[in-house]
Amino acid sequence: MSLETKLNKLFAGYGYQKFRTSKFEEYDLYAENRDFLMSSQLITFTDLDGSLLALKPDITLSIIKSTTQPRRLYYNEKVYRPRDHHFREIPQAGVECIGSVDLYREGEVISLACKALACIEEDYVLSISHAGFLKALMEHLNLSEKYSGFVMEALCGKNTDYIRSLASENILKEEDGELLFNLAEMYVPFGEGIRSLKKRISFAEGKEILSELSDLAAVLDGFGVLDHVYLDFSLKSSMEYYNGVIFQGSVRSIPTYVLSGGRYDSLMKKMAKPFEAIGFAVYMDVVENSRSTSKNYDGDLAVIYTAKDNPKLLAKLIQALASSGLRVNAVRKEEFDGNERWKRVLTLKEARKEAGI
Amino acid sequence: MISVALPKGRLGEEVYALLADAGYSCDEILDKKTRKLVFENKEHTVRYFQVKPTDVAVYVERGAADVGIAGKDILMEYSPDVYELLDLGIGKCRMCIAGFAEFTDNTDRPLRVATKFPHIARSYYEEIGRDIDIIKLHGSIELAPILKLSDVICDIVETGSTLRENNLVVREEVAKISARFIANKVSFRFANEEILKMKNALENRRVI
Repeated sequence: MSLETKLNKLFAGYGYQKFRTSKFEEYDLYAENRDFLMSSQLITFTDLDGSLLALKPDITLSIIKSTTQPRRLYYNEKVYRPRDHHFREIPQAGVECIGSVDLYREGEVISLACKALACIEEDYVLSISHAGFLKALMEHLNLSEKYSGFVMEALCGKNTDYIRSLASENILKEEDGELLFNLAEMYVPFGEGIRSLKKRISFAEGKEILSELSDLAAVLDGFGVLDHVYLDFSLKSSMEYYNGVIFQGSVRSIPTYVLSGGRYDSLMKKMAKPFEAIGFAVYMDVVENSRSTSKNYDGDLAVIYTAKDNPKLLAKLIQALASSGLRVNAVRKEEFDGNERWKRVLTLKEARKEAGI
Repeated sequence: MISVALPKGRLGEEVYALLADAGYSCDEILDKKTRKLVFENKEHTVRYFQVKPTDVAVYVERGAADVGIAGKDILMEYSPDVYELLDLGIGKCRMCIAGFAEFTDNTDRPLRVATKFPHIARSYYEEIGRDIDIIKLHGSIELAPILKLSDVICDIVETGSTLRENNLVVREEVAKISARFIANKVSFRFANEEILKMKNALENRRVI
């Protein structure tokens, strides 16, 4: 079963509806939400009526735009984005949950992300961070804009030496330095991480978020995925659009992230939609590109024939073999160069014997 | 098995000495005559490859190596998506703006900056709000102001002797540079224990 089929089955199995969409979108949607996209470069063109259109670089914005009531959707579409100075068609799958996103819903979507990762490979990890927590933390630290940028960068890079240097230059208070050091270093099972943080966090908003997160852990446990979930404050994300949990997923055999998502109520507000929302995308291209390229066989059986052989007999033979479930093809003797890899290669005579024809 | 991308040259040798001392030795690597590119010690569950210093971050970012040693200059220039776990305190130098002592900046026109590090130069001058014209070179940067190709250079200064011999002086310091222990973000998750063990071993042996 292809990954696409597996994911569709998974998402549909939890009652999510398939969202189909055209490749075109009004250009204005992207002009208004440029910061949400990773790149502002789009493939644009003029429609026959003179309006400006773009090939979709993203599905989420189109889903939000068309949303008038709560909905839970999944998609498997192509998006068009620049990569290495060229436009590429990139397959992307994902889930969006729009409406009132309570603790259960949040846990459901994160669990679906876990189960999607398991479809790619059983050995997977989902890392969770919280944009709201980091924002509150930065306010609590009360640093200048320049230094809060550097601190965020240090968290993303797990650069504990830099945080230590800020503390030794007295830019950070000693206890704040220690806390940040811990957060940068942190990569621990989700439940354990929250328990240990609860003891260290003193500012009110942070405490509140941690208690929400420990309830979330219970929901994830209910879905049976908690063992794969880790607390990790090194995830990069746009703080302007994400306001709650953010998460990224990886599997052992692929050296970059294959999934990312988060809670994006702020984006909903910006687009004047009266709902909360959470979602994620699976980078199908990354998964496809890292598949092992050595296909073992082109097929099960090659039947070698010549121009002299009776075509009607050959047709009957191939039909019989193919309907028995074998991947089979007839190959002209002079075209058979050994580059094609078949599990077995038979002459017409041998094949007839095998098929009993 | 943990794979380590080492930069070719003196820095790589220094870091290897630290790692060997920490129990990650692989004697083959010391053989100067060998043409081998990959060195493996199964017993110590470690594999080394020697690559061009500017390529270390690429190997680590794309997961061909789990960890590596790269100069802060390379990390600043290319901003690879990796973890910067440790400042090793070796290979120390400074990223500087250098030029003739008598040169005064004429703010009527963009400042011409010759450099191997266009991204670092650009972000440094953006921060102080000075418009510049970047001249990207691959070597002998000191030649640029002498031939009036550029007003100043943005380059690495170790002892300053090359600058002195060409009558150039350091005008501003952009950043302090040293070797960093970096890790692939996904390897950090799946080989967490091994990577942290190596990090701790290096941390205990570094001189800061």
